[in-house]
Amino acid sequence: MAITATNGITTQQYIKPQEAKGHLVSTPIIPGPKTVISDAKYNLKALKDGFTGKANDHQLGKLNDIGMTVGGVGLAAYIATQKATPKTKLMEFVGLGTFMAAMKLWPKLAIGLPAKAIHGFDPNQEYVDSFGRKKPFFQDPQYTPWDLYSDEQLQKIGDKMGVDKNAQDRNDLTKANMKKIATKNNTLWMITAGIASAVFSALACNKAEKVIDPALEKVNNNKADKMLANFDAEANKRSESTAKEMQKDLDKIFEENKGKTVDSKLLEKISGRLAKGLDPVTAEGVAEDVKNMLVNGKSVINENLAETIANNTKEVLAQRLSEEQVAKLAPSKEELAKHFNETKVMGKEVSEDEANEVRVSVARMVFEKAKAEGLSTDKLKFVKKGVAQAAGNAIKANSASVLDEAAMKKISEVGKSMSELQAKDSVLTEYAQIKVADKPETVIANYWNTVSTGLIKTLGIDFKEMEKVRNNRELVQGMVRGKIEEITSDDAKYEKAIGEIAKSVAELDKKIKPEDTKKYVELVGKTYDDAAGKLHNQGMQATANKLTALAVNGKGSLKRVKQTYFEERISGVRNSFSRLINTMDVYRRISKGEIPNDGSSREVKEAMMELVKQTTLQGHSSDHSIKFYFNRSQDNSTNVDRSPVEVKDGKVVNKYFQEGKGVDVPGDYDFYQKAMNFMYNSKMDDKTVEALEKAGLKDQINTYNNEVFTKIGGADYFTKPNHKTTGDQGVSSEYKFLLLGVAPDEMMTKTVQQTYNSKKWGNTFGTVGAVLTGLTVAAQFLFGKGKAVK
Amino acid sequence: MNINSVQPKIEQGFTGKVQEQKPLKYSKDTLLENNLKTKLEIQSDKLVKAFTTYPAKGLKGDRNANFYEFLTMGTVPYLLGSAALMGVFNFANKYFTPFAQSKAGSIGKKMALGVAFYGVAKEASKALVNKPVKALTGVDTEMPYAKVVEGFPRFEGDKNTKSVEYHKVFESVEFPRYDLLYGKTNEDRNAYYDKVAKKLGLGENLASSDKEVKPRLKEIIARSNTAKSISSYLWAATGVGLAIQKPWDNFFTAATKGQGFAKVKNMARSFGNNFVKAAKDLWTGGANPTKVQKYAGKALIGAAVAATVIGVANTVINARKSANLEDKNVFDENRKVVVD
Repeated sequence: MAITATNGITTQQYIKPQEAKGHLVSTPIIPGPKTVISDAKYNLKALKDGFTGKANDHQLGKLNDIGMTVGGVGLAAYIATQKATPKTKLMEFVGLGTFMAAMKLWPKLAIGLPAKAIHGFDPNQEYVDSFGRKKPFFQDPQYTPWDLYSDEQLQKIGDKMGVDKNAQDRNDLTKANMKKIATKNNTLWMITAGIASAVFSALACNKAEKVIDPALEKVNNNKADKMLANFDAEANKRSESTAKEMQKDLDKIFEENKGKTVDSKLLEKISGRLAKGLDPVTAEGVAEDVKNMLVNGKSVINENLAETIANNTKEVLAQRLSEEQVAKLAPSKEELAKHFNETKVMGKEVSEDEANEVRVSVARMVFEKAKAEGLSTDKLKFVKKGVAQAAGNAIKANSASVLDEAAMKKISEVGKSMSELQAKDSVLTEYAQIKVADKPETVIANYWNTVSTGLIKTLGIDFKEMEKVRNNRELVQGMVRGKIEEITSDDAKYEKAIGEIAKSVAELDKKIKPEDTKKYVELVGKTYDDAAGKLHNQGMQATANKLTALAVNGKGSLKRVKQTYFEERISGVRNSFSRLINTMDVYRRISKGEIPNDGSSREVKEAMMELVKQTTLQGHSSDHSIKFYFNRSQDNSTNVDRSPVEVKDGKVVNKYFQEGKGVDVPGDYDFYQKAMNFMYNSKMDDKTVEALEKAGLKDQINTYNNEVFTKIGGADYFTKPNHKTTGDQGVSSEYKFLLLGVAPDEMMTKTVQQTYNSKKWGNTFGTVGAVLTGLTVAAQFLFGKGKAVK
Repeated sequence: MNINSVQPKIEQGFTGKVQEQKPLKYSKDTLLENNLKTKLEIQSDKLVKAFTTYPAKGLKGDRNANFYEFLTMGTVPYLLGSAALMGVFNFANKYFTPFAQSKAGSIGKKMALGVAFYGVAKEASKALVNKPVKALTGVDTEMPYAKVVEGFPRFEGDKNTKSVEYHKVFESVEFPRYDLLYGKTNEDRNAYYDKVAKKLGLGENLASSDKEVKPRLKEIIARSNTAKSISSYLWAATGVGLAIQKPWDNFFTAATKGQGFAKVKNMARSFGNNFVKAAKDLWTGGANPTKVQKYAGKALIGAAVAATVIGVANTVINARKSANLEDKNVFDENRKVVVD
């Protein structure tokens, strides 16, 4: 029988329920681009539907992910703007990325993987429902779409779980157990995720720095090299915009002040704009020149001045006189104008002397009135002095110089020269900043850090040793000395160590090529000389002088500062590492027993070895300048023991010498010369030479040793005039200071502290992460012991 | 053929233990007043259970563990993660040399403050959407209710199978708890819907205000949730931005001074002063800002404000539009359907 219905719902005939389209999905630990894109599309659609009010619960849930990402990126971008260096800026985004990655990966790696291996299924299993919504299968224990698991899959999981093969309704037992294990794992995830995400994200950031640092340095260094190689093109490019900006700003000032009196405010505006970006010393020169250029020193007598004097006088008189007296005495604007007309100065430009006459005449006018009023002598004095001062100031301020066309033209010309200098200087400054600036992440700072932290490994200093000594320079000193003695007394160890040090030290010339340094210095010279010449011709003598200081051979000029800063930053670093190599070599020669048997007593030889060890490892420029005050005894009697010094494991076995005993022997220049000779003027050890030749550093170290021997050894010291290696070379104390660089023990103290801090942090949180992971994984073995399986 | 039971053998009880019935605060699903007292009660109940009852149940694989409990436990990683983040920046400091310690300490303290501000700003900012939406549409999207759920008995004679959960009437856009919004008597049956209808400009004395209002309620939920999801994270970011400003250094210094009540007073005053200063610095970029720094704080605050304002406007304006009221006719009068 057929039933016919009218007004029915529009459907096709014989419609059946739609076939379920739900299915399990296997998402890899790191999803592929296809998944990422389709998930992102879904999320964006969710956002659109949410905005239009059509979103479903699943979509609204996804909006949380979008919000977190948007907020996270916004935050990282904001914090990045607060950071000074490219790396710290980048690290904000790395931090966000690692945190999000840690949140996603933790349940997959620490829970999903071991659970699957142990129980045969993934508690993070996802499925897509018939509406295309991807959901975690076990998210809601009260709603698990079991029909998506095939019988075969359940049987296999049951096998892995050890469910009795003959059990009735075996799959139900398996499912019950899966649900139980999944519930436990979801809880475990919630308990562990917070700590795990924070700790692993921090650890990942720490590791990421090791990849980011060299990559970023390469990018920056290449950028700087290109900048120098294409200096003219780069400077021209910048010059166009700086010139345009300069003229625009000047035009604005001109427009506002055209035809107006040049006062101190206007001068400040103009010179401030011309000197924008330059140092305060040069800016002073600019201000001086602009003043000379625009102000002719004359004042103008006019109605304006009459008004100013009238006002100023009132104010001054009110300080000591009554209101009534002020009203009677203070001249009005009209009164003053009349006075100027009568004295025939109205409308005149007056010189300083003439201005003084006007000032006096105004003061006298008021004084006469005051006298007629019968004021006391004291008050009369006050009136005369006060009015003269008020009038004087007003006349001085009422400058006759105005900003006319000629003045504006002159300033514009200077503006062109200044903007060209600024453009060129900005290229050079940026280059110097990237290469050698005294701040983190410059090429030289990275180089310093790489070489110095590498020493921890080269010298074989472990974490426990760092922990013991890190807070005290003397303890670090002792440890480093012991390490160097140990290494230098073993051929293989020394060969390896000096090879590593030489190789890393030699990197400097690759990163900052000596020919580039030369080019930089020349370009600075040319840029400043050209600019100074031009400015000088434009009437900017003071500025030109600040830039190049030609009169005093460049001393104290901005040009010289820029050149020497660059060179000295490199020298300081180069010398510090040259000194380290020299220290290693001196210790090596002592370890090998290459101690000159020069007929001195054994005690003196022992003392000298101690002196050179201390001087090379920890000596400062002050120790050199006082020619090594060093206590020892000086027994030169015929029966004294002159046998060779004994060295064991790199240490001198002192038979006679005891540190701190004896006295400094002032006349013994021989001792000084021998010590200097041993340290800086003796043949280097063969293995040292070999390593230096391989690294291309032999000449550098030879030059360094020779410089110390002659320039520092040759320096004069008044109480020990004969303590010299050569004749006085007369170099500056700054040069000597720079030559000795940082003492190796000081370098190591800082390095030990930094390395310890980062290792301590890494160890602490590495342990937290490892323990947490261990416990989380181990929990799986307990989770399987559920009572559901029989 | 013998047919055996297919029930899995659960060994979770049925030991014949006699048990007293524990009274529950609610006997059936109950709408709650959305006020501070209720909020505190709900939050503390959830917080305590998130750290005690629910993990204990979950780790045992209790078959009464449900999605609500799982979601409630979301507080655990949030709080532990925040504590761990604070730890990451502060814990190792005590081993550093004094100078490194003071440097790392200052950064660490600000990071800890940032973590705290993140959480506070994220949660508190939701009111910036809720309040205006409620004022302009009459719909409180955060309206709470207590739900009484029945679980499986854990043993024979288990009398405590019921428990109370705290949900929100509009937490699901697909299944809002419309039933809780009806009055108990015929007179006030549609009172809630009448009120909302009037607010939305649909008029008064409607024949079936519930029918008119319900589709709009769904849209309000979807739109305001979207606004909250996006804006709350931007406010959280603004909170961190505020926490990393320089003036907080003064607060950390001031916080070490004084003792007892004086210390608390000192801290509170310093907190207030430096909060204002930090907010100013966030807006202006602080002393000597670069061009980017000058606008970065404004952009961050601007984004949060914009997301909130746009989100609220989108919810309210669309809810008050009176077009498309009629249901689309799904019936085709010319069509015949034959069922054999």
